[in-house]
Amino acid sequence: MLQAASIVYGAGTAGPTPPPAAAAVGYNTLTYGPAPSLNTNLFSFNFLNNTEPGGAQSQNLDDSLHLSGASGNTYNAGVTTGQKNTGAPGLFYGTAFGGGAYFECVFKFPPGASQPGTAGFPAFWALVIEHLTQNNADTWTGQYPPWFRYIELDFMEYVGVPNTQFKSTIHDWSDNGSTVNAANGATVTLPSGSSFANYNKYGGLWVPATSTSRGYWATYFNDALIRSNYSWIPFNSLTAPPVVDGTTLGNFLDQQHLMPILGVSSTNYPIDCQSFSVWQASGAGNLVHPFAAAGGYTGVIALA
Amino acid sequence: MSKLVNGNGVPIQLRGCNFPMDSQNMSGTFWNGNPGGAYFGSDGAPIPTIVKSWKMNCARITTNAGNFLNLNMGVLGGTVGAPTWGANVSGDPLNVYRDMIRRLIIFFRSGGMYPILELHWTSAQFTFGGTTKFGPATNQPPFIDYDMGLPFWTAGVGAGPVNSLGAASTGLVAQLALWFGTAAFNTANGFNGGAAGTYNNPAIGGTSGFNDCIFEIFNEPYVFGGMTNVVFNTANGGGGSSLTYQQFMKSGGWCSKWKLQDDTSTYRGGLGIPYADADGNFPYWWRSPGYQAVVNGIRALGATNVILINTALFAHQLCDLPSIMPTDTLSPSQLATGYHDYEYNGGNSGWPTAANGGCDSGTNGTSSANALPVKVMTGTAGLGAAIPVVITEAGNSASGTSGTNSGYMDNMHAALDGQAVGTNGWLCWAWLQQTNVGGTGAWQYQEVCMSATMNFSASCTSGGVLTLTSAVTGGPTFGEGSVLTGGGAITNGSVSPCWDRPWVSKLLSGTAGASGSTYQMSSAPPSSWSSQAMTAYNVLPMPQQGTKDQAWMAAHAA
Repeated sequence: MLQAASIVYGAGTAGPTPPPAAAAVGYNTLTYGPAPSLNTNLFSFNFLNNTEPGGAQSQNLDDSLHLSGASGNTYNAGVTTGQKNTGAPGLFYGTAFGGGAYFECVFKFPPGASQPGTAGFPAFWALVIEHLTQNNADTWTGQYPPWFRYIELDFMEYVGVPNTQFKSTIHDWSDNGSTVNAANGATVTLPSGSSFANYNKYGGLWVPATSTSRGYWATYFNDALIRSNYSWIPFNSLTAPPVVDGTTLGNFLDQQHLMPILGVSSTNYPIDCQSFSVWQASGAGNLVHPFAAAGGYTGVIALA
Repeated sequence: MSKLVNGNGVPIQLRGCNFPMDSQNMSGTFWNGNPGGAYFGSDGAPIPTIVKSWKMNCARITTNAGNFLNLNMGVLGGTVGAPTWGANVSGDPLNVYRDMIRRLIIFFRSGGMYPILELHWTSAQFTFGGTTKFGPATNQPPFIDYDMGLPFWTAGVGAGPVNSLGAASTGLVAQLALWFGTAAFNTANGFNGGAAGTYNNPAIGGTSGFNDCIFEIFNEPYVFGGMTNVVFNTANGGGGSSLTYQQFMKSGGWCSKWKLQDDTSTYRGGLGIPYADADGNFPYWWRSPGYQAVVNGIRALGATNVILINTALFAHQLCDLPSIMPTDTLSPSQLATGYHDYEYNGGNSGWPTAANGGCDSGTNGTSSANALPVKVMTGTAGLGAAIPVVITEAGNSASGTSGTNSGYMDNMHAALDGQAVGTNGWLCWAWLQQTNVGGTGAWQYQEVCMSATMNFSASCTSGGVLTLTSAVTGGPTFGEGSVLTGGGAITNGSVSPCWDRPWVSKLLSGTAGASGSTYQMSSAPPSSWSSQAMTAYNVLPMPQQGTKDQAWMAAHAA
């Protein structure tokens, strides 16, 4: 396993400027992006047995990424930061982000006169790789008989509310034969004068809990906090399930790794994505697996 | 013996195809006449998805330094012995060419293919009438030049020659850092303010962010094997001490004559003035940095990529390797050799024996036992026994007009498979688009092979519109894809077929091959092409061999 190279930009270093929300918590390192470049930074979503149809994603001439809305799934997963390793079940290529991060995506779509129902809506969200790989890596450590637990962060979902609003939710999924979805969601309203039809910055902040501070996540729109924080106490493997209550909901995330996802499963709402970035204190906690393909390509060649 | 290994340390045999991106013609459109970019459709999406299905693991991008650096290049005018500068031609003021190179790299990566970046066309500077300009990079010169070719590889960000926009240009390696470099690499080497490249992905490209790219410094040197009566010196104008061509290639110096590959007494490859040299050379001194300076310059930028060193006689004469091979600053050395292997023509394109001016021993590859790679890798051709040999261009021959498979490439595949994995590679010339105007034609794998020669008379405008003044005789079909080899004194078969020459991209009016019919050419031939005898070949697909090549690559991909 490789670790992501990273550097912190200090005074006098002409690095990229972190978003205010990221800088405020020390996430000054751009560990991923910002180009939404298909097959370099973003890849067709092939986890969970999904196959995206040909042409579902394409690069615009201005290097923005176009998502047509044609999709192989109904849960709005178009592109993410890696792919399932089809040659080795349970493994993946690409990057999953651990230890806290600020995810930021700039995109637009035609909002139409009304929003879609429960499926096929534009969404910027994240799911942990421990679940996506379907290799039992999402086992609830410390608990027996086996419980599975994984976190989903929905930074932005354009669903079921007026076309000036979107939803923002954390899901804490667990299962020992019967799925439990403990969620904490909210509807947020765009600032006056804003429109989904224009490029907007959607941000999601994840800060892990420590022994002295609660972990939390928050949603941002064009750098402004748009949803109040939701927080949790540090994860304790000895706490018996089901303990996803007002203090523990979401805290399993702190030991997992997120794959940010952009997608839409309806051609009524095609997305154009201008940038896709991840800011962190360091990339050291990320899972990074170089791409390998038939024929031996691993992303590196040398003489030995 | 060193071997090519992937990121897991596993020896790897390179198998793939060329993607020619060498030319931007003098009227400002690209190789395939599509200003939106070769290999991409009008929507910007990469076309050759089929390439992935062939299970290639390597793709070679031929490049043009004048376009990549966006330089103003001069068109030559004047008279014999008294050249003057004509109008400037801008390299690529809108960065379309650069963007195409970047997109191709990304595309190949996504298909699991190692990109080989190679310098195909470049041009030295010349001074006429007190004015110094770059010559036109419109065809293949004898070797890498100091003025344009060196900065193409080694110039840092904003440290290259002044471009057509009045700004200092950026070389290829530095541009790769800006696109793909990791934060650690860019910090250590001063790129991008220490930030990762815009298109960096921690999972691709290794510690530098572009360690999957192989650099091939110069395509086909022919300071030996393609020019006559030239001398080499350590100083301009014949000053200093004399050099052998091997010394010139390794350590640099001055060469007494310039040339573009297709220059003859009637076709001047864009230079546009008559020659003062009976040998068809442009008799003006020019400077080369030599391989050592280029390698040093690339390493000085921090890049640790594998570099291919190609020999003289159009990348054939491997017995020269010991005397031209530079020293790498890296240990183990990351230098290997590129080799070109075409069956047809026997002379420059065949086994470089003493009989055809070469210094290697052997016979042409009529069986896997005596195919060139075997000779190379068993030590009869010098350093080939110690470093990997990557055949970066190869092509079959054909009988008549049918594209009959001669078995040459089969022998090559068998010979490569008889060697240790990691010691060799093979890329066919080339993946091409049959119809080249507007990006509408089907992309296909074409192995180079020649049809019978066609003869005709024609005139051509400076805009590249050709009009037949007599009907075509002696060949199959004159039309899209027909390659003009010249006119007048050109003898049929005396030059090897080459996509670098002007070729027919579209029938504009009339009946194909009939007198009076008109055609759009891929580039504007010299103005001296006027109502004279001309010859052409068709370059044919080789369906039989292509199927075999595809099967060979697929069989090794698992």
